[in-house]
Amino acid sequence: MELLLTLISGTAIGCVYGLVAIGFSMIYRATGLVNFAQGDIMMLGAFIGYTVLALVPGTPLVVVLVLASLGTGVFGLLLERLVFRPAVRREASQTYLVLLTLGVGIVLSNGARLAWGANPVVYAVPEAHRTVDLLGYPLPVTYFYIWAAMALLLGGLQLFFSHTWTGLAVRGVVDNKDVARTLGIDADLASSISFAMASAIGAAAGVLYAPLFYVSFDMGGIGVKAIAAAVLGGLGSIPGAVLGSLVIGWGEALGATAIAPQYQDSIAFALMILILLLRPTGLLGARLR
Amino acid sequence: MRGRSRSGLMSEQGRDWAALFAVVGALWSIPLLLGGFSLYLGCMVAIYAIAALGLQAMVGQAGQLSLGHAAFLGIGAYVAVLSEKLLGWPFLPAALAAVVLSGLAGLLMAQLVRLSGIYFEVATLGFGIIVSQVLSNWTSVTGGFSGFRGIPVITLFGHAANSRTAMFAMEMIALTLAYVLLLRLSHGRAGRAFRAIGQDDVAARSVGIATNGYRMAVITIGCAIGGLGGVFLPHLMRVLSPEGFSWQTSLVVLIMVTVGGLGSLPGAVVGAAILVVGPEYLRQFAEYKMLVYGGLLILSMTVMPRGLAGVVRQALRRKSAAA
Repeated sequence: MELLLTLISGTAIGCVYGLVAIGFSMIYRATGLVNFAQGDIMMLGAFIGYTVLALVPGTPLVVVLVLASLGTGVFGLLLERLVFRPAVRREASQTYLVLLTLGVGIVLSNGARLAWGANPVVYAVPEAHRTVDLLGYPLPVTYFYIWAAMALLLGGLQLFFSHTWTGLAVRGVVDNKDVARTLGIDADLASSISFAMASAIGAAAGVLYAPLFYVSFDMGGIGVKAIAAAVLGGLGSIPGAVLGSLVIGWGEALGATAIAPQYQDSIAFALMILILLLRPTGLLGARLR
Repeated sequence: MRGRSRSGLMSEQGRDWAALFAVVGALWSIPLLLGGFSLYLGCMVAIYAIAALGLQAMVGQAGQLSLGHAAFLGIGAYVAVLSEKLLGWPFLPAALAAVVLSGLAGLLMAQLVRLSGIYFEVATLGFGIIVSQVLSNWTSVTGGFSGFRGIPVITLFGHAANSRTAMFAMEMIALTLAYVLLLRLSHGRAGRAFRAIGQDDVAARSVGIATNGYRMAVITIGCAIGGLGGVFLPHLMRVLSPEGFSWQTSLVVLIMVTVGGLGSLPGAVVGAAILVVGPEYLRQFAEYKMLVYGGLLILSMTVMPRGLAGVVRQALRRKSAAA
């Protein structure tokens, strides 16, 4: 039973990583950019949610989530347009792009530290304390929000990429930029849409993480594990990002109880390195060479 | 490019040596002339400059982006202190053991080279996080979060080097040796291979360069030199704790290398000097430190992608064209 509970909380945290990792993979697929700032974008979303709650106490969590996602989505759009697109267009090397996103991440987290302070804050929402009994064990109600968000998102993305013109256009650009362009599809559109959506999804992850734990300027570290998850699942693959995140979530939760909680991050990364040594492009990644 | 530089006054290799003498000469003389606090700053700059030189060879020249360099400073620092404290070794063998073990840890990380590009980079990030958590939590060996106090004074051939000048001189000898080694290496066959891999790994392999062997070699050397820098840190501070070897330190060393100019050895030293000395004189803005560092990183990537070294090179070229 203890084991089952560990797995349940591992699944919930894994889904939070998964939301960040999905955004990370979408950006990678559309632009080839490995965005190390994705975790800090999640942090920004969580703080926007915190500000909404501070301004209008009693705002329902769902409304907070939507507002934070919208705000962060617009921010992601601006970031792509002003910082990343010029660099990608210059065909800067992968090393430069990674360093650029690291720089953006540092500026975001330390900017948030100036704006919202160095101390962690918590969401004043009833969901933070509410629990649901499952087989006699109390589970945080936020877990169910997280699972619902993940299910809705996966369904929504499936519809978006297979049934809407915009989604098909993005896929077209990802598959073959030149052909898409001759068909009159704006290639920059795919990049903008992916960034905006990835940022909005990251913000949702931040808002859903906040009632369980806290919000702080350095929570981008969670994003680092999400990146590990996306890489372990296979870069650019959305199912891979979710699978990788679940593996990290479970591994971390089991490792924390079996070995020691202070080695949680090490367990996550050791798991990733081990899997990469066996499958160098991740679990569901494209077979290269 | 090559043809033009050869027709100039100095060959490319000559210019590299001139840059070495200028940068290392300045770093030797300024702290010794100013003394006092500047000497302490000089000691600090030398430590990070050594580490940055190692990272520059990996990242700037061979294109092997490591996001876990602080781990190797940490391994160097802990191995040196543990062999002195537990085994009672004198400084030189302890330092040698530290460099060898950092190199071996680097070789272990280098086994990940069969991962391509970004997979490798994220793996190095993981490697750094694992080492830093082990240093913080393996309390029975590393002393955990509180680490060690009372680090022994460096003794060389029976003489205790307890003056700061002696400490500085030893660090600078190590720095000069590491720099000369890396410069010699970059002028030879290995250096050409490193640069070829850095520019295009697949093309390098197609012309018969054993890319994985060279990648492992440059990672091992870079990490061993990182460990050499780490050896001096506890001896300067007289305490050793794990917090100096976190993910943040890896980022800071990476920013040093980038601001100085990716691929440039003198740039790595100058970048280290700027990022160590700058915050000391801007203490009232301490809370903006990382914000400014991040801004510097974005600025170097967008406005001056070759860093300060690129700016200097361009200025010199313009001057020689005008003459």
